[in-house]
Amino acid sequence: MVLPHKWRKAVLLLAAALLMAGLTVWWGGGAFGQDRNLYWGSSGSDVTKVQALLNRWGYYHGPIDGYYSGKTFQAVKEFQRKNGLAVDGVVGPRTWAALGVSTARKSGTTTFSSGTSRGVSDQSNVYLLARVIEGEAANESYTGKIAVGAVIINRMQSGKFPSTLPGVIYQPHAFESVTNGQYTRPVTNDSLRAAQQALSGYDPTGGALFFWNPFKPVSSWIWSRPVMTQIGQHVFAR
Amino acid sequence: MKNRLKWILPLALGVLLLGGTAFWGHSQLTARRAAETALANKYNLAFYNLVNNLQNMEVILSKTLVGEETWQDSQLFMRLWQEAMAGQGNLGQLPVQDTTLARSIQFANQVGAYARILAAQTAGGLPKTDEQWRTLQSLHKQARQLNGEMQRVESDLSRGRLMLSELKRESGWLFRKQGPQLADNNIQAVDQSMQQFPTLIYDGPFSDHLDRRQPLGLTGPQVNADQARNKALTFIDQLPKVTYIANVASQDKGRIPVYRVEATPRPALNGEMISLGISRQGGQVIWMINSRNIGEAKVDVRQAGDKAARFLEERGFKEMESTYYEVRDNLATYNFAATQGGVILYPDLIKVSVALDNGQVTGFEASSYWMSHYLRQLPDPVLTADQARQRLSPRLSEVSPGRLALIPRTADREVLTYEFQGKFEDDVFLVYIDAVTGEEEKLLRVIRTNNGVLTL
Repeated sequence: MVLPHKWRKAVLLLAAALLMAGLTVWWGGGAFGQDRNLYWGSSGSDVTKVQALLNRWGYYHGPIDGYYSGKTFQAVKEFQRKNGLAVDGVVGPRTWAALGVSTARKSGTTTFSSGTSRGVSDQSNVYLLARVIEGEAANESYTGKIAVGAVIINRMQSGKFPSTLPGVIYQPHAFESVTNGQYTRPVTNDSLRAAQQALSGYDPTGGALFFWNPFKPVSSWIWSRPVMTQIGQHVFAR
Repeated sequence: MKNRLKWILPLALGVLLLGGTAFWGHSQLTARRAAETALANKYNLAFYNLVNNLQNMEVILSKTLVGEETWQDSQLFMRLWQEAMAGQGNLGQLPVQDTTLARSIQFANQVGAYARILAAQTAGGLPKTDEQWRTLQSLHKQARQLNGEMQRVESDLSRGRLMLSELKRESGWLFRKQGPQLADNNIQAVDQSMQQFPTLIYDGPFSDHLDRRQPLGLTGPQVNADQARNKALTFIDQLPKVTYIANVASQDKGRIPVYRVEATPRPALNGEMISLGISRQGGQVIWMINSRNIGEAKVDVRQAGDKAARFLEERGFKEMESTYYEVRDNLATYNFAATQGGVILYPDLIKVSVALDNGQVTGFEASSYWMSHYLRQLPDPVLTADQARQRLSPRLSEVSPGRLALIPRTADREVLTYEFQGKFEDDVFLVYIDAVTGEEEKLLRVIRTNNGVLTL
């Protein structure tokens, strides 16, 4: 069927309008995934995560050190071969999915049951803290997760911030994942455990009140704080 | 006819699309305005409540400077405590950067903590001392300053020269016009005006001297990285037939300066990586966290508790007593307190976490232990356990025989007590009776849940 010239123009315009509308919706609703592509030469906590997973399933026997080198490369290729993926040794979106990382958050979540005596417990605090840990440190090591939880507990006790857990967490502009709503993602068992341990006093930072990712743009003021340590992608300071 | 049909259809479609978009846009705008207004109202509620809190704090503090009657003072300090706590809560809700109001929040927290201590003291019949009066005078000066500055912001807000919500600015770029300014800078100025005042030192939480406390339990020489590595390897709960290697990852400048050591099995196993903080002075393990996954529970909570106790014993922590525990997703965390001559020392706490899949100790936390543990000169109790028992409420049933326990009264002071456990209705309580004065020092309620036992 050949459309008359004017009709074709109209159809094109309509298609363009629909496309624009679609784009708008996509921009508005899209949350960008945090997992990045990994290849030979990559380093960081994402690599550690891949190494740990591949080790657990028997693909990888080298050190879990966060450096993507020969052994990791071979292990990733082996994993891709066994799982019917393109064997390129690059951890892209499909390999991440096959590793269960993007879906792990859903399958590994806990439905929250309250088994309390007469309605008193610290369940709500554990859960609230776990959600912020998930929002701020989903890709960090377990130690890195506890560290983020510890910062929130330290703020509660410092006197310079609100003195309750919800007060600290919902203080305007305090935590990016709370400001942008990312912290409402379902929490993993890891985050719940980390929250519990942070609440019971574990603090691998030694008393930090601030943390930030040095690879992301942050206000220059934050660097004036005395830095105490770095764990994974986060710098911790007083 | 044919010609007309040609353009009517696209035109109709176009008009429909345009109309639809306009309607959608309008409803979006309306919804957004409603949301903005609701948010601005929340901010205003916090702000105007805060203005009232600050004004009341200033007035009450001035009254405590002229009041002479001790019971009257007690009432004033209670109210001051309330206003200060409400004030710090409202300060924490203003839409400014989280550090902008740090000094003001600290001031409110300190006034609250100080008022609580004085309320307890005056309720017990002890009048405030001259030194305390001078501290109150200094606090009153600061309260007057903070109150005055905040009143200025308030008057600008009320006249519409300022606004609190930052949302309007972001959404208003399209229709920009001369309007009210954001209050951020003015609020920042309020906090800066507070920074001229000296820090407050008192015997209570949030006192400025607490930041500089040194660990009492850490003695001995500085250790080097090699010694820290070796300490880590002998400390971790190694799985049988697995070789571990350890590296110093960093030197951390926390409250207790530590080497952060990372120990991993060679070859790698189950994603296991153990991080430890080893103090540079004395080379003690301050904390340990194992990052491995935890599988299905095969060890019960009692066995795991025995394992935790054995772990401590083998690492030289003698005479530790298990107090309470919590379980979360197959990880059980046990609390132990040190003892000295049969007296349980609650300030010196150690937590040990055991994975319930194979009973390996995967967590250890002793920073409060090393901060406060030393050989104490404990006072002799004046009361016997039976005499202390007489002081308990007759409504408590199934009361335990009682034993000596040292508990923290304030940040710097500890008090020797008898600890009793008793029941009222279905709830279990711990009651602490001062072993010297016989006063009821503290009440805790024991909460038993499916996840363990804790106290509130």
